[in-house]
Amino acid sequence: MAGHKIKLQSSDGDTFDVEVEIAKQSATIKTMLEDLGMDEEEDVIPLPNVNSAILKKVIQWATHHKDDPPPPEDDENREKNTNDISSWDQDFLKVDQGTLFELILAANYLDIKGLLDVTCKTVANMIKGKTPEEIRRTFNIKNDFTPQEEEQIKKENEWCEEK
Amino acid sequence: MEYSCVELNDLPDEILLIILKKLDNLEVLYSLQGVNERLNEIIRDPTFTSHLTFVKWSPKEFINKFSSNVIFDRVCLQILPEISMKIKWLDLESSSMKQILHSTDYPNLNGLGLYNVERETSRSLFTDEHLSSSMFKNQITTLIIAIDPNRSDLFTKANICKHIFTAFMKLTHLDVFSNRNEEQSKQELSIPGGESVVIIEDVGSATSSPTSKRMKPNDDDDDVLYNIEHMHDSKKQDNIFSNL
Repeated sequence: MAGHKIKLQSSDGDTFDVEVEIAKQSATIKTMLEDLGMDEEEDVIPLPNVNSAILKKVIQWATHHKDDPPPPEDDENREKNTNDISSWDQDFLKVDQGTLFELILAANYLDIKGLLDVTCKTVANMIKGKTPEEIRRTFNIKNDFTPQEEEQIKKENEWCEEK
Repeated sequence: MEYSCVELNDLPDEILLIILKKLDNLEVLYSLQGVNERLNEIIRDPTFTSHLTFVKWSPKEFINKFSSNVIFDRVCLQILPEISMKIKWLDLESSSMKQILHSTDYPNLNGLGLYNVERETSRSLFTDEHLSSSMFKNQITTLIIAIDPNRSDLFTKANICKHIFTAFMKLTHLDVFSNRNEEQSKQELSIPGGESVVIIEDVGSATSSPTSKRMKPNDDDDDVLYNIEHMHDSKKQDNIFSNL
């Protein structure tokens, strides 16, 4: 039986019908529903920080994960492991970097812990093991150190290479 | 789907911190130190610089985290000197501990975890003039030692402990591990003054328990110093060694 639905509206005006239980994976939407007492199917929740393409992806992710147990509370001492991304999530996140970063921003704004966790782990895996120069190339980051600072770094590198 | 133009460097600090906390601190420093001004600033946060672990637990033993000399050299020659002021705790493996401790001065280092310690490394390290005269003597208050039982007889262990009590004059808390897979046991010897020496014979529990949790503030170093010296001469010491 299909559950009760609500409408989510993206920043560019598109609306999406989503089951309440799926939408409630977003703590932001859950709070809005509870605080505003929105339960009519005609009510529309505006999401001005998420565009249509990203919202569609977020709904796709939330629909696939609707039966997942709630994610564990943050624990700083938990072993750092970025290799536990499910194969479905890995396929889902085979997107261009811009989309990946927009998904992170959306997951953060919508407060969807599971999606934020898996997208951040994906970026962490892209960083792991790369040299600073490889990081600049991979993420298109400009080297903004002053010439003096650059010279200092070069000197340190020379020392390193001589050893 | 249209291609988005958001880049890593466009993400707010708050998000970058979430991403970087997924990585080991040394991985963060190795890959991001020197990329650009902003990332340099972010990775100097104490989250990434106060506690550095050069050791990892492989199925049955502690091993060096870095198998590549290129990475290890960059860490020792470039990264550690730049963040030396911020480092408060180091976990080190026997084969590289001396090189790391000599890479730079660590004015705020007060905790050390030393793993796979055996006779030669302990003798060489604890009698090192430079380290003994400053860092060991004046700074280190908490020390974790994992002795390699396969390369250390009782006499060696006694010597290691003797060196510890001689070199670390400010020590207030000492944990000694021995990585044997025998019956798990744990013994805690209380020292008057509220400080303690802990001997844990199960490395599994040692690795799952963050060392920083055992750190205790101490307001009365003189008392503790007395007690540790007293232990060195007393029968209590025999009790320690017999449990290793």
